[in-house]
Amino acid sequence: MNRIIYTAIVSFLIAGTVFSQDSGNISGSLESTTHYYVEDSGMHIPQPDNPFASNNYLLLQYNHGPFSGALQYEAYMPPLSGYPYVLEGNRLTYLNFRYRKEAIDITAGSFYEQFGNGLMFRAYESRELGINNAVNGVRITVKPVKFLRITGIYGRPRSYADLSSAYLRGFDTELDLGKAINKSFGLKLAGGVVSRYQPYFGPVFNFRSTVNAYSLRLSAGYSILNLETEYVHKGIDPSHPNNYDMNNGGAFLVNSNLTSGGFGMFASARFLKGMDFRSERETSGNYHMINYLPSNTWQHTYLLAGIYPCSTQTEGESSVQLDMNYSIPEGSLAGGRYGTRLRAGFSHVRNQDLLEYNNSPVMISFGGEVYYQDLTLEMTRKWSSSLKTVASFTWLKYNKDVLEFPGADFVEAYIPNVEAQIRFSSRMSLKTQVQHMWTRQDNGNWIAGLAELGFAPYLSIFVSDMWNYDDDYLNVHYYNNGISVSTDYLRVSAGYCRNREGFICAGGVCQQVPAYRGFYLMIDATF
Amino acid sequence: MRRAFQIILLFLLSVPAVSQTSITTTLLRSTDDDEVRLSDYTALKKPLVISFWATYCGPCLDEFDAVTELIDEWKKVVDFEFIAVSIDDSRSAAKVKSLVSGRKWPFIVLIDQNQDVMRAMNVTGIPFYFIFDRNGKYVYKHSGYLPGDEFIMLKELKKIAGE
Repeated sequence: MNRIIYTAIVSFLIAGTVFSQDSGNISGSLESTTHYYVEDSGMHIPQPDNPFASNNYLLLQYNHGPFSGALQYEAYMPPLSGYPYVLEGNRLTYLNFRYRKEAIDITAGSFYEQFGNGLMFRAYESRELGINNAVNGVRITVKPVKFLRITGIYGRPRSYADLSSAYLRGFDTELDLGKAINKSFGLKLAGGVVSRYQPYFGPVFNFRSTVNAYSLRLSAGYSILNLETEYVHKGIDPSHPNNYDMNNGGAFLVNSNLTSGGFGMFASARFLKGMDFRSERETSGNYHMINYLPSNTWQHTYLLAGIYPCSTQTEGESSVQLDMNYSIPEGSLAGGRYGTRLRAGFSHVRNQDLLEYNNSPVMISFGGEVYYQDLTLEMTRKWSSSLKTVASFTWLKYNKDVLEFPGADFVEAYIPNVEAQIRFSSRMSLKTQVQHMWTRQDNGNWIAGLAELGFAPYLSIFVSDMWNYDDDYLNVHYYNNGISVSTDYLRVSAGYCRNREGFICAGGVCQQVPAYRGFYLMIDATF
Repeated sequence: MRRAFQIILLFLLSVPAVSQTSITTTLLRSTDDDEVRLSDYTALKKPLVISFWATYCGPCLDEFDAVTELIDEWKKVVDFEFIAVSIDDSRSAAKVKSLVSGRKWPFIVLIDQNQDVMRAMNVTGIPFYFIFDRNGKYVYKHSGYLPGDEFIMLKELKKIAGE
């Protein structure tokens, strides 16, 4: 089988080289991450028997007029720490043929798709997290008139390296009433259905092997204001993650934006009840989700603020979020010569009230228990042609007892951060960050720093360290020291690190990384 | 393992010969929620810079702040269009409009919520930008952002303008 795959890819490449000049074109990407793990005496972690791990993705695409095709080859030898071990091996995981012309778009084979905000259905790939739930089957999209789009899907979602036992079928339709009636006014009405069938062979009589979900969306925009809502109803879906709950699920989302030159405000509210919707009812985790429910909070990327990320409680939570951006004009007293940018964000997540007769959550309600809250203030200012600073402060509350494991602390933390970017010349620059986190709970206080020396456009050298100096037991440093080299089509990064699991940005590229200590080599090629 | 490295090596040696990235016809959305295609902009017959970013990507915001400061000056030298493609998913895609307004970005911003365009153009990480000439033919691409990268962007645009 491996020989067949190898031959197919090499043939694809050679054929592409030969024929690409006048018979369509071939393009693709290669992403390879290899780790070499070492013993970590500070963390009391021995070196694994096989210290090497490597994730590799090769995507090839061919386009010729309205026809296109794509294939993805994946090799996990073995998977990186934190990825599911069942992925080990190498195989073709994605293959499709597509015809697109004017009002019609047909895909046969693997495809990614999202209906609305993904509350009901999203098939996507996240290599950083090892998630790929591409559907294998058929997708047809038609636009009979300019203001109407209809998409239908049928197929089986991916389950790790194989296919799920479930079948998905569904459709989504979007009617652009604004375009049909009046171009100066935005008004859209949309809705869809997704049905999952997963055979059931257990002892329970009349067990629901088919679960249906329905969504309705409405969005409107006029001048500086726009509003978007989505409601999803999900049928009874007893499964392992929801303790075989026999109640319907639901979700309600409202997003709004108020924008005017130099100012923008985003406000959101989301309510979830029994919305864990997956292709394999006996699994847990994020690998088999049919829908997509990210947390409705600020997405922190600074080292310390990322220690306590909010995770969605799919069986019941209510959340609100506010995000404001404002540019103080350049030349003003407060804005300075180059202007100043301000950003403020607030998010709050809590449980829901329960019905007395069955303890089921009331979807649109706010209970008495806080799951997560954060308030972030950020100011970006350029002082001269060679100096720019970013200062931010985050105050967060993190209910570790609910979000991670029972019995853990309710964490309250304060995190100031200062970043300075200095340009020594048009090519050479230095970026530095200093952060601190005060908290009396969990592992106590942290301090972190980062420095990145850049030689545009080819080279960056970076060092960073997070130190949990208040933790008497571990008292370890989490560091990342490395180098990144970029050419037109290739980027190579290498380094040595001890990482907490989390989101990092280094060498200008942001990635999610699992916990490990050792050497790493990352290769990205786009062609 | 050995076979995978053979494939990697083969590709690293051969990619320049087959480099054919083109502007995709895949649908994405404007900040006003209208359906658009990147290929629609080739009708402008201008050089295009297509830059992939996200609201949570610090280096991306640094790049756009630098471009915002220089773009008016650049357009006096080269008549081009700058298109920022957000790959924010539903967690943060709805925030794009307010961020763009709040930061006063003077260029086109589009949203690729399920990363279909990102995948179609073989982008594996952000920030990442392409430059295409007036005929939509690929000229240059770059991954990551370091202060000073914007001058390389201008240099490549000037090459297209024949300066």
